[in-house]
Amino acid sequence: MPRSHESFKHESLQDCDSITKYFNALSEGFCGGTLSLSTDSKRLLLKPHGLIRLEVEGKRKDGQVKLSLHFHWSEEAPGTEDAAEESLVISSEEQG
Amino acid sequence: MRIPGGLDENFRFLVLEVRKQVEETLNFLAEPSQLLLERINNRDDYIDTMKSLIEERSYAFLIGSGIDRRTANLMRSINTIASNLERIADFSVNVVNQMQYLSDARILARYDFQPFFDETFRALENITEALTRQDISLAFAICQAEFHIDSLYKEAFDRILRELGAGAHTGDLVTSLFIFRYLERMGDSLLNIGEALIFAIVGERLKIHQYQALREHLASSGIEFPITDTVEFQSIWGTRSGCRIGTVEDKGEEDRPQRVIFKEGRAAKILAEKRNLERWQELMPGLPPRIFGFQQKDNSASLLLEYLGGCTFQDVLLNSEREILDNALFLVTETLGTIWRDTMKPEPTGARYIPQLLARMDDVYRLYPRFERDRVRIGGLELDPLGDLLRRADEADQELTAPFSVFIHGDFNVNNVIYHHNEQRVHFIDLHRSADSDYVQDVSVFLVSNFRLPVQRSRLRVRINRVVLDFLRFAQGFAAEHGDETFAARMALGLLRSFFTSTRFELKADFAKVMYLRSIYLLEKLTAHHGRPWRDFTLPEDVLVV
Repeated sequence: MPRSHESFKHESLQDCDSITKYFNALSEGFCGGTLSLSTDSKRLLLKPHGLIRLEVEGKRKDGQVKLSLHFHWSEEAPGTEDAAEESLVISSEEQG
Repeated sequence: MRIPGGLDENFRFLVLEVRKQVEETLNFLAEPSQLLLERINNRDDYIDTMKSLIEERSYAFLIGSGIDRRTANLMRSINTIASNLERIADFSVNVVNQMQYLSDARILARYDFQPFFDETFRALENITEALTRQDISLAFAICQAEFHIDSLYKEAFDRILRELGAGAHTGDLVTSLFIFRYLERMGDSLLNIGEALIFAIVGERLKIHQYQALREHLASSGIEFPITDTVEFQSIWGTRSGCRIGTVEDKGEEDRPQRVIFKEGRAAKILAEKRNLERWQELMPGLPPRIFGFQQKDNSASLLLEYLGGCTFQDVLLNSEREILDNALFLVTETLGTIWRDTMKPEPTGARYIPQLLARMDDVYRLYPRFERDRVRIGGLELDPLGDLLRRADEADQELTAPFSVFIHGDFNVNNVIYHHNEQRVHFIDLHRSADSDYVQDVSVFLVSNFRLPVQRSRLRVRINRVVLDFLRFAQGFAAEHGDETFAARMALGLLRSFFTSTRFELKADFAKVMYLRSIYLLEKLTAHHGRPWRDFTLPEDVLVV
């Protein structure tokens, strides 16, 4: 199986109110088993399933806060060679 | 203007003879000959005599009768010009005399001396016309010759210095350096002549400010330098150097010549600036720089303006004690409040922020192509492309008029406010965009120009944040006082415009992104509110502080 590398990155500024839209969208994606991340020119289709490793990390340094959520899972069936691990990273940075 | 006292002919002759002298010096450098050497030396005597004659005649004329100040100024200028012309002729003699010390006259041909002469010829040719036609542009062109010649000299100097490092032909190299040094000193004399001409035309002793020299330097290094765009100008120049305000009074200011700024450009633009300056002057005398001269020729015009010393608001913000900063901010808000109240007209007006943004969009994308945002989908969440957001914001922008107009600065950034501690007043500069418009334009530009100062998180940043919020409170107070219900929404428009367009001057990608994201955030907030009453819109003030 050829190695593949696809990526998607979107950055924005939100407030505590507007950020919930993003959480809802992700939460729906996990519930439905499909999470599509796309722009007009590219699309990354994620299919979270099985076991998902979740990492929650918080940091505060000189009034700057960073909260990271990492989700890791594999899309290949267990035992498949070259099983690739998908990961979804959500970070939140705050300047306080 | 006629040159009085029968000096006209003497003066014209002197200019012509000096020109011939420089011409023959050039010929001599290319091909030295005994005959030419003698001619140059003889002409030098003739030039000296002619200069003395001008001196004598003008003194006789001055003693003769009660003459007006303008004529007296003219005579004074003519004498300064004559002395400097005579010096140029002397430098010519010095140049040709140096040639005998070269081991081979052809050595000099290794260097490009022709441009020194071209500059000098051009300047010499302009002298008589500048004086008789009272043409500031020509006088200024003569001053510019000095800046060009200086940079030519710098090139020659650096090259000779490098070659001296090699250790060979040192005698020839030192002689060549002397020759270029004399050519450079011709430039100094040309600057004196240009300044004497400006004195004759304007009637005040003016010193062309270094600003122009800098502009010249940048132009010669191929950097486009729009004189009217202070933002770009400042991004290159930074703050006025050495500007630290203390409570000690400046001494000896009166002895110095008045420093000036010379602006030249399209007639319509320069004329608009002149009218604005006059209106500001009428509204609050002394607030704008004084106009020393204005000239229009076909489609171009020039303006000679007082160079206002003191420190910019930016300097005060970054360098002065807190008490002084508070005082400066107080003066700025007091001045604005007065101007706004005095010029308020009850007619709805819009500054049209989104078209301002669109007009600068290509410049932003050139530097940051990634800012051109497509439609983004994250699962079921759909984020509109930037183009759609801007279209909707533009609709809002058209609805969102200010309930009244005031006379605004038009480019009210921290570098366009000058603070005079000793005089306890502020000045506004760069007034070419002033108009009756929405005061939120000035407020938003001022706020973002504070925000974007290249200061990391530190006590200085805390200070900037405080100034930003204090200034915002002042503007909010004014809005409330005058029943301006859509102030917050227009502020969002103004701020998103300035955050977005400021990225085109920000080479630090991280900070450009900080501003860009704030712009998009405001854009999303504003467009999301569309359809509801604008008076209910709340400005998310956090965007203004770091």
